[in-house]
Amino acid sequence: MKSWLRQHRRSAGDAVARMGAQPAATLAAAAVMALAVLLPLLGSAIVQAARQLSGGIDRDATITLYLAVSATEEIARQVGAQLKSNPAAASVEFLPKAKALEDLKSRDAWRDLLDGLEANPLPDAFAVRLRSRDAGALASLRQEWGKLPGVERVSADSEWVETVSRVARFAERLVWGAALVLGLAVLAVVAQLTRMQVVMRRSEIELSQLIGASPTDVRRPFLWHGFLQGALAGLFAWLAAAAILLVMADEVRALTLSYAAEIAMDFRMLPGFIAVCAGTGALGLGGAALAVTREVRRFGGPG
Amino acid sequence: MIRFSGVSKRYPNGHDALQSVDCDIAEGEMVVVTGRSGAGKSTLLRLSAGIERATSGSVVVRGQNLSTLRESALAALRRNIGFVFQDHRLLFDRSVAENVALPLRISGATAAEEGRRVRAALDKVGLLARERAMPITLSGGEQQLACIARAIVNRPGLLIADEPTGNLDAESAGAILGIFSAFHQVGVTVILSAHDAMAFGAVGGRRIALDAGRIVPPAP
Ligand SMILES: Nc1ncnc2c1ncn2[C@@H]1O[C@H](COP(=O)(O)OP(=O)(O)OP(=O)(O)O)[C@@H](O)[C@H]1O
Ligand SMILES: [Mg+2]
Repeated sequence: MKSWLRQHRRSAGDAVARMGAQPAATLAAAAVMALAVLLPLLGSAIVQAARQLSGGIDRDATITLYLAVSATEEIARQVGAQLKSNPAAASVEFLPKAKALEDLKSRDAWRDLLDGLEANPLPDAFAVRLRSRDAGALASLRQEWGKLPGVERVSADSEWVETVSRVARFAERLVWGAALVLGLAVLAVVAQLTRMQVVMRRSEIELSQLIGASPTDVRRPFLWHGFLQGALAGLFAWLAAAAILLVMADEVRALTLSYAAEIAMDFRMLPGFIAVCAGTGALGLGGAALAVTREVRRFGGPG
Repeated sequence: MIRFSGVSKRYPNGHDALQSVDCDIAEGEMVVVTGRSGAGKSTLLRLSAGIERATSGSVVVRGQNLSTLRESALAALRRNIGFVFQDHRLLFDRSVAENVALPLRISGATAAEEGRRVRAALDKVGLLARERAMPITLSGGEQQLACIARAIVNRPGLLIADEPTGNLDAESAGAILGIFSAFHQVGVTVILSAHDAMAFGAVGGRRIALDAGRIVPPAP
């Protein structure tokens, strides 16, 4: 079946030659489609980052109690004793305010800001790891501990983590929806390009049919053209997304500085390069197939 | 090789181009289909080549009933028939050689084979010198020759030419008929058409005369 391969190679070569003969049109179409693909690509990277964040943080239920800044050591000691005596607490860690300040100062972004201060603005805190991950128990402990003397604020990190992962799950659906809609845009653009090509090459197609080109033979170069045009758009979109993530990486790192888990946002969060190009290529192929089949049928052909 | 049994062809506009035509063309035969303009010659030829389908009756070519063939099988049949169109149908955006190469492109020949066969076909019709010319720069007769070269490039066993000498002078027409005779000599089945029975006086072969879509006895 070597002639089969040869025909594909020739059709592919034909498609590349046609794209090369009209570089402006080819690039413009690829750029338009790349824009459509870029959005879901970036969206998926962000979802991926959120996933990493919520997965990276300790998933055990913990409650952090912040004392009032004015709270004395005596009060801190009393609160600590109460927490430790509570059977729901698996472990209790005291986070003295001096230590918290040291930690912050070790980070460049905060140092200048904090160096100017005379008094330590941070409160003492306790991190309590709970035995149970039950949401109801968490909520009632939170309420109970919020009423302890000297405790100003109680936060449950794991609640926040839950929220992030719930938002991530929702965002993921959004991204899929957007990908579906914008994928249709790629299909439509390629279909329109193909339609114009078919009309332009009408006499060649009709003659080919008369002298024995099968419907498959007629479609082949257009399918290659659609595939390559789509894949080119995928290539552009992926490179653009990778570049945007590269630029955004520093911003994102600064944003997440205060959390235990740091998000490294880069191109590794994108769906694979080959997968993206193959996906948009397949969309292009689909658009071309629809258009060429419909157009060629419109001008009748032999028989 | 070709058998028409009760073949009628009605075009979508309701015109009956052929009415219950019966005829047989044997392997290796040379046949000239004659008849005045509109008699149905092109229709008969197009039905024989599987370019058009009969409205009723059956057209059997090489044992295959064309009315029941699928489109892809019909295309395969067309690949093995050389057809010279009444209106040339050359592509004006590519050279003579590229036009002649088209059937080889469709059948998936190698580049080397393509070059060799295109040159051989052009040589046979005496157009090798114009291989790189664009069809628009050719005379009517030369365009006809290019069209013949395209029909023979695949070395088909069946060669069908629709008024190949249409509006050529006697000398050019004679040269073209010589080409078809040569193919007939080596065993190729040849079907030609002409509106003027006298035009092919010089060539042998059986005559099939058409009048208003029906076969009639040939004029003596
Ligand atoms: N595609 C078509 N649609 C409608 N009518 C057609 C079509 N093709 C041919 N006809 C009609 O069918 C009849 C036979 O046409 P055909 O082309 O077979 O004649 P012909 O003998 O080849 O004539 P000519 O010598 O002028 O080429 C004519 O009356 C023509 O008008
Ligand atoms: Mg005719």
